[in-house]
Amino acid sequence: MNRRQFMAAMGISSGSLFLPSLSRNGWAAEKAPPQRLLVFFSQHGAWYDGWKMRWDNTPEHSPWQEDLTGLYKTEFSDALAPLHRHRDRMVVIDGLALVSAEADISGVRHAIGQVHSLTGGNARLINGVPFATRPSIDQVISQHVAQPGRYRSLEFGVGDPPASVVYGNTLQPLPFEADARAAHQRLFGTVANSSSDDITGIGQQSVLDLVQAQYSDLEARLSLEDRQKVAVHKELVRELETRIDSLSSLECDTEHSAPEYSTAYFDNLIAYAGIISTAFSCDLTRVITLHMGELPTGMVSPGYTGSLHDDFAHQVYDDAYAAEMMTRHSAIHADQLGILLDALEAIPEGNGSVLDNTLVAWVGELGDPAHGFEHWPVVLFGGTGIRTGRYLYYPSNTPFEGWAYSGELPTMGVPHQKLLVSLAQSMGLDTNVIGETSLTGSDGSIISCTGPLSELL
Amino acid sequence: MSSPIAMVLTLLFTTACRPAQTPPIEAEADPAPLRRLTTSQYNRTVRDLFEPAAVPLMSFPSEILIGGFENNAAANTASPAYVDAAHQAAVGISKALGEQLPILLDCVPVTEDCANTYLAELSKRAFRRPLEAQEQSSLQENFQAWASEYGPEIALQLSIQYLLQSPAFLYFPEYGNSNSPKNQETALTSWEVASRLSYFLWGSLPDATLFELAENNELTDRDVVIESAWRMLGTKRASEGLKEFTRQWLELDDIGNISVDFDLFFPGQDEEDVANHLHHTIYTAMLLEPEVLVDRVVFEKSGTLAELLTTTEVWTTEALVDYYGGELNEHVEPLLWNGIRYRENGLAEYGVDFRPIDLDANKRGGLLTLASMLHARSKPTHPSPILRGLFVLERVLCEHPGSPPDNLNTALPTAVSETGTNRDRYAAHTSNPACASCHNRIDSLGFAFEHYDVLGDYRTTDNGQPIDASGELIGTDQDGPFEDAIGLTQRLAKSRDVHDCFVTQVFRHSMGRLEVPSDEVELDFLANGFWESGGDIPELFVNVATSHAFRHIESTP
Repeated sequence: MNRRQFMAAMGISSGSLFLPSLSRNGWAAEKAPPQRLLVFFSQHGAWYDGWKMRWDNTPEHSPWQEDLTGLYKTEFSDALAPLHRHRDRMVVIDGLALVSAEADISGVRHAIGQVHSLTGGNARLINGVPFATRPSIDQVISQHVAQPGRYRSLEFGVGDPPASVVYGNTLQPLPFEADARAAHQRLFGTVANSSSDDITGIGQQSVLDLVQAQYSDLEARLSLEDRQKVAVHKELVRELETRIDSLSSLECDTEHSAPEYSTAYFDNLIAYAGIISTAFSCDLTRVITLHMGELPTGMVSPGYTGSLHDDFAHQVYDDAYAAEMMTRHSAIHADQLGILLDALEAIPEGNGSVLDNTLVAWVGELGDPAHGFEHWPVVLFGGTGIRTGRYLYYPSNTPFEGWAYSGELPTMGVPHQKLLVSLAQSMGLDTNVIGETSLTGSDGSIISCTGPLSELL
Repeated sequence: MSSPIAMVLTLLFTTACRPAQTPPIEAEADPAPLRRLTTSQYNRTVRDLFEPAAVPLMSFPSEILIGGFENNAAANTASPAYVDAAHQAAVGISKALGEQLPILLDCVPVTEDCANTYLAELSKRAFRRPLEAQEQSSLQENFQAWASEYGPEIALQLSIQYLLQSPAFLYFPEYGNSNSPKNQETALTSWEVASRLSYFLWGSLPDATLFELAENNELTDRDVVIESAWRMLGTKRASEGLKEFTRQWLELDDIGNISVDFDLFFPGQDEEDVANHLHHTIYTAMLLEPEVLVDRVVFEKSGTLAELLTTTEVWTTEALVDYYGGELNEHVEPLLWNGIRYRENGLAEYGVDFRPIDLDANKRGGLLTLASMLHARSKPTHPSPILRGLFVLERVLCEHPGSPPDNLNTALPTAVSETGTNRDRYAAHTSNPACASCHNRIDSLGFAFEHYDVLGDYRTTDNGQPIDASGELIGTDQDGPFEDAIGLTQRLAKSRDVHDCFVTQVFRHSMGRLEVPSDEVELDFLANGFWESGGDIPELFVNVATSHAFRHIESTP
């Protein structure tokens, strides 16, 4: 499939054969392109033996790193091999753990993982529904990088993700759009892109000014806790107004055609690849989270119609075939991520591509498919803040007793907050803390969760 | 929407105006966190606000469910996606109305005066109260300014957009009687009571009669509220309100998302045909089946919880009749029931004809044995006693089992031996002491439904073995053994705990929040009343609507 066909499949077309560097929004060499974050969030963690990579003489009990750039595809693990072509900008991080999730006993492991993975903070359950106590890393970063007059962040979903893992400053889960056509409508539809000839473009500024004034009036009359709700809504209306105004004068070479209606998982992924790359290249937003639902069982094991969750995910330690299927689950996601990366790489920007200026983080809510929090698999790509083309290994030296199906774990890997801090710092934030600051180890010692992974930056 | 027979019966209802319980002295006011319109309420409201003009159905981000209910105020803080959706909805609706102005207004072409008059009336209904002087003048001034720039038609549309995004429309700000001292409780104003009543009982805005009572400040009088509640329950719109409760209480959302094993249940058939049949015929009917039963029992029959749980007369469709092994009663006019589904271009309404059918009393009885209810809680290849048991525990008994212990593998073997049954598959739960404490109850309840397979079909064998659906109800006031789901539901129907739980569910739905300790007195009182009335659901709805907490709030400090 040549570039044009690929773009067409994603709904992207352009009169000038897709050269935004010629558009008003092209980032010329002297002006630094924007830095962006894309979070690719998948379910079920990874079957460690199918995901990890090892070299000769790499020790188990001390950290090490190896170069990925010189490897053949066959030298990659089964789960990660589909990403081989992007190895130059890839960092695999082996040895992190959701230690704080292990320490948080407030609910079922899936729900706890859903909260801890991106927030690094404890969960707070209301009638079994997990709410966060900290905003998620994408929201923390968007606070810093979001541009006025643009979307603060965008949350999309493919398939049927179980619950949102993105938590805003109000600590409520932010909804994600799982219908690519609706996402397209919101970003590129007539209301978003109205002209002054069309009712949808007329008078919005004055309407929204008035609406905001109403929220201001109301705020003053309410109880303290309700005031926050109204204040949040008012602020969002203000942002909406600014954005409508700003986007009405946006020129972007990239036009995006509406995706065809399809309930097929892969079709939606492709549709979102188009939406995401257009959204980034036209600078509609700088932070996007793509929440991947569990793959349809038929995609992983053709012809099989049982439950992937029950039949494979939970059986990985007992059934070699199940483990193989979960490795396949990871590999298919790797393939899908590769397509997303291709889409971002295909768009020239500055002296390189959009991907050069996008930090992509592949994470999930669990370590392993059998609810373990150890060996939390992380793969990063692109961006300008991290040194890429490497495999980083950390030993399980954290003195915290964890649980895994395979047996008790006397120690666990590196607290994952450090990755979140690394993401924040690489995006230019001056912070050492994301989520919990420390945990108490099984030996009574204080485990620090602050600071970045210094090897990464 | 109702059949003629049903309409006659509902009219009979209005004349049976019964008094309601007097709330206990110690009952407390509603802490009243700020509520917002749900997607469902928004769509009903705009439909009613602008009729007879037609407005499209609008999509909003899915609500976060707490206790299964969409309107819980703890989870409704606006998100960027929500505000965008509210904007898109307002613009989309105003655009649709822009093409139907002759239906809304008397003047063709539209004049400023005529539009202004319409707006004055519309704004009062949209805000569900009279506008304050400053709000009125603001609306008028802006209309004038827009009219000067764009003409009266566009000005009207912009005004409508403004109304539909205002907090007085999207939210339910409540202040109570302004004469009450601060920091104590205060009675809600008549306007506020009207809104609470109509959204609880109808899922939409007040009608002209209710607005008039509010205008005359009559809804601070409890007797008037009682009378209003009974009147409202006697209208067709009460079916809409009840549908809201039923749909959320019964958690039917999984229907359509469970991938049924085609080889097992549709062997040899073309996959695409089966998929189409399931999604466009079976699931669409299943989503509505429980709503119809609840509606018919409440509005056409005794209206008791016990009947709902044990009746052998249910309503179903052509598509689902084979699950029941009987025949639809062709002598009765079909009841056309409407549903809303997410389709290619967003939300779309669809209708399905329902007719009564007599169940085989040996095989099924009551709401919990409807095919749809069983399918909603199944896995692709086998029923899930856990999901079915949890449903009964959480939604019928109001209990929340804790999470599985951390240090335990919660994975289950899914393949059974050559002669193994579904019970064998789940046996590890009850044989392992660490699991048994919770799963004895959960699975036992779930196994009661073993006769109903993944699609809700009745079966007598499982993998060649005879079905064992027996178990024991424990931890309730009706403990004891049962042979199958019918035995279980008969115990549940007689249970005080089940009746109390139902009161809690209605309370949560009506108040838009979970109960707090200070609600205990009121809830006990409502529960006593419900029990003593024989589980009379309409009477419960009226008692909730006329309760102290429903009509009083803590005044704003």
